[in-house]
Amino acid sequence: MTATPRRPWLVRAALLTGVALVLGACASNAPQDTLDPASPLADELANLFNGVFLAATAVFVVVEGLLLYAVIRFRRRAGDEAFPEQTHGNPKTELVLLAGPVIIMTIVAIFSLGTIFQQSDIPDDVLKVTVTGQKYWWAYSYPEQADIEGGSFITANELHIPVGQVVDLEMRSGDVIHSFWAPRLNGKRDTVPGRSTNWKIQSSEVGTFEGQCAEFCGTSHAYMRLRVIAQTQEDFDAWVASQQQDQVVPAATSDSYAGYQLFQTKNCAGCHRIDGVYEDVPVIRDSTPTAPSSPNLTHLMDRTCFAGCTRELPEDEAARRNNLEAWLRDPQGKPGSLMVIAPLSEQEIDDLYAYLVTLD
Amino acid sequence: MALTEERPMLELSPGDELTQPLGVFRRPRAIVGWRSWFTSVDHKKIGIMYGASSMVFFAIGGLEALLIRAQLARPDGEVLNADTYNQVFTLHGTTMVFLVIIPVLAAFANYFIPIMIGARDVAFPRMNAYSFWAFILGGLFLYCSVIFGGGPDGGWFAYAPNTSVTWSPSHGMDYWALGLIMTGVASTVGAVNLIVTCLNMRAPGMTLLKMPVFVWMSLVAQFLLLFALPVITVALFLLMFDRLFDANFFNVEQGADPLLWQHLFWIFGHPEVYILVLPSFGIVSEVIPVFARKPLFGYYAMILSGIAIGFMGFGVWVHHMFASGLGPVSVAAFSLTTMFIAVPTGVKIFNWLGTLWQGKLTFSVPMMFAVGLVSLFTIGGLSGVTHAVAASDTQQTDTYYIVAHFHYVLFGGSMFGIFAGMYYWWPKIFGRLLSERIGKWHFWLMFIGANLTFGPMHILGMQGMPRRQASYPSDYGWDVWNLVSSIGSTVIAVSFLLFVINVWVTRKNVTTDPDPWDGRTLEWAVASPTPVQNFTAEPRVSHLDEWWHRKYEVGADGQLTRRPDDQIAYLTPVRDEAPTDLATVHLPSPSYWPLVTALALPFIGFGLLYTYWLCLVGGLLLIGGIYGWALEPSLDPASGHHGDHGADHGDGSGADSTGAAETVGAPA
Repeated sequence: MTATPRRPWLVRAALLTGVALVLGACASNAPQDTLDPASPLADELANLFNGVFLAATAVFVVVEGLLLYAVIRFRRRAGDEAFPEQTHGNPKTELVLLAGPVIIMTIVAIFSLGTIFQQSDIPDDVLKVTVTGQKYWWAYSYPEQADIEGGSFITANELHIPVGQVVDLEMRSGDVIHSFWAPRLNGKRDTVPGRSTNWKIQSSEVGTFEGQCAEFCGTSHAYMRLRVIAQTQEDFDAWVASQQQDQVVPAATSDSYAGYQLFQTKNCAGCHRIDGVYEDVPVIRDSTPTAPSSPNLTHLMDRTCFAGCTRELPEDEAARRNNLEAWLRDPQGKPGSLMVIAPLSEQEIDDLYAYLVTLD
Repeated sequence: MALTEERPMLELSPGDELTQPLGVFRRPRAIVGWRSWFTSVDHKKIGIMYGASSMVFFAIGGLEALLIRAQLARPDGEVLNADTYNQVFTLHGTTMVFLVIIPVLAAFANYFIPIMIGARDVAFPRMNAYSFWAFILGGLFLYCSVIFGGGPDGGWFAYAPNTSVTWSPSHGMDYWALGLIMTGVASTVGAVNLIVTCLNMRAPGMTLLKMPVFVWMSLVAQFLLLFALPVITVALFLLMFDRLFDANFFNVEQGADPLLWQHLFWIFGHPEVYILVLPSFGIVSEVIPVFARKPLFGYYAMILSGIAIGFMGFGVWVHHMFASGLGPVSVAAFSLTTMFIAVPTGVKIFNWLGTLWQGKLTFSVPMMFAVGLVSLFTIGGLSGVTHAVAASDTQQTDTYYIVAHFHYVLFGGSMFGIFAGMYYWWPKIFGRLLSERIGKWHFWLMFIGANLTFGPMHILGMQGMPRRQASYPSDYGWDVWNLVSSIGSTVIAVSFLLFVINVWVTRKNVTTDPDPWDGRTLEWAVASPTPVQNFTAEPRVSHLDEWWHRKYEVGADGQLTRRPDDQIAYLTPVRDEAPTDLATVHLPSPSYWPLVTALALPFIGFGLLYTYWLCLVGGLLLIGGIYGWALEPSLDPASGHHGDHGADHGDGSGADSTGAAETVGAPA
């Protein structure tokens, strides 16, 4: 440490580089950026954070500035044997300094506590969806209600919501604690087994929003991702209508019939439900945490991702085939995946794929 | 303070039977040589053993950190698989909290509290040895998991029900729970011991409000341990019963509520943060005045704020659970308490600044680490304030922003204070001076490394990167800062390596200077390294910063001047003077029993996991150990200590004296 930097330009260059790096990082594509809100709920949180962060930065500058000043200004010079004034403290100064944090914290409290109550204030007459975290995917149950006339249904990993509307999420867990988080739409809320709490979500723009499980839930925690798809009311209604349709058993003469049979013989149906076709198992664990529970594959092809949203289901046929077949070859390609499947021949994989693509 | 050493009941005279309790062991005599370390009850040796073993664990925990950072340096990292990664981060957190910071602070507390308060030893020397052995055996037991079938994989926070046998079938979490119960026993016993020592063993004249700040902060931390550890111990027992005996404390199917674990864990876990950081604050509060050449600014405010933090620390735990859905009223209440714990913390920062202000600052390595703590802890404290805002904390909790926050607190706070203490007290402990040149490299690399590693994590967290992720995809904007952070971690590793090198290259850099920094407290009034008896005669204390006042006086011109050397009386023979005749002082005798009694713990632990027969062996060891211990006089009648208590009780100054009256009293 030197009292005065010998090369002031070096310090300035370093500072500028630092600032540029920080700004550069913020500007990059970060689909889970909490400071890039896409809903009034997340916006409120970002504003709160920015306000407190500003206050903290001010305190930071003052404290570190004083510290730096003291460190430079009050260095003992060589040969200086005199003692500084032996002050033991100064009650007046100390009281003033005590008042500083008290005032700052009181202001922060006044401006922030209200939001806690707003967060838990969920209107009654809104769309309700039950979110169930299960190792390692998300189940979304849309019960019969004003917005979902014509039958309830359950889907996986992708939560569809109508744009602009507050949606009431009932948070549940089928096994351990998870945490549902789509950062651009709202903060996170844990799903705790044996408990149910309510959380809300909202999007002010049409689009797809990334998110993931935020509470450590086991080996595959990092791969328990999710998406929220905000649609116009018409698109949402159309999606609801399609989800309410059962799948049908393919004709014995069709290309997908062999795969349909394999789904049974390879015991896929022992864990996965396909409404109207294979209904042996519930989608949500209703008894013991070890009971099978795997994503509902009804209307699988309507989704954009699978395997805890770690694999894409693109429009492009070749890419989609590639992703799905790779998964069927080795479900353990996702670390900690709970899917077990006996090794399949390439023919069987092709057959299963031929069946799965009919689930639209 | 006359409550000590009046325990003649067990002091037998030479010739009495019972000198070899149970007839098993010959009572150890040696206080030098490698064997003596296993039987020593000397608080200094025990302190050194605590320090050395925690530094070994620090290296292990650091290697785990490097593995984590290697895995996360690039997206889709393939250094570790997900399962191993989870074990590594669980071990990293557990090691750093329970096997590094707690014991290294126990090392300083053990070594320096008795000397700083003018005592011969701690109140219960054999219990002290027992604490150490229980700690090291607990730590080794925990690490046995890695050898025997897999490390713990539920995180250091071990949230139920993910830690149930169903979801964590290996013995890892069993080793974790049992190992932490053992280290918990160690810390509880240690806390009782040090509290009694602080309250009852102070030299005459050392009132509570003349105790050095380090002693005060350690005392507060020991009280926190005493009240917080039982809570985690209960939680660990519940977990152990769930896992080993099919109990249902956290079994949701049977109606359990897994949030019970979170409450128990964090009622312990938050005071734990202050357990880890308050003693470091104490160290810094000793170091800064010495190197600023002026007294601590606001001693009383420092003490009071430490006590306030201790009390308030028990009332903020729910801020770890803001996302769990407890309801707005409790969230708002704990949001408020969390905000206002910033007030006493702020007081400490201001008082350090006040001490630096208008001082004559010398930047030796201890001072650099101390100022480093002030600057880094400020960042950790301020990011803590942003968490107190519960609503927006739902965005930050469980992200890298939190990881950044608590590493600024525990690395920038606790560890920087610990290294300040290492450099500051090294000459006193070992009679060797660490190299200033290497030390400055150590400081700067560690300071830069810490900011490089933990600074970018703030940005990562705000960009939505959750913590405890075995890997991350590349298109989320997290690549650059993860790489920077990983590079920073290697800088920290190099800096720690420099510390190790420093210790090695200065091993012959002997100093006999008892007071190299011109210290203020009593440890600098005795020889370096501290002689086994600490003090020739019990000191009489009349001032805060007693040693400083013995060295300096206000001269006729109103200026502070150093007394002539022949008027400054050290409290033990220093340099070439003849050593104290150990036969004239009262020293607790070495004993095998603490080690034997502590050995019972891992036997019981292994027994619970593999075969109950081992529990029987452990039980017998425990009972036998306690029996032998109870029948063994604390002072070996054949130790060569002659019965007249020469210098120890020589002046007969009545009930007020626990030892010799110091002939050279403190100047008025």
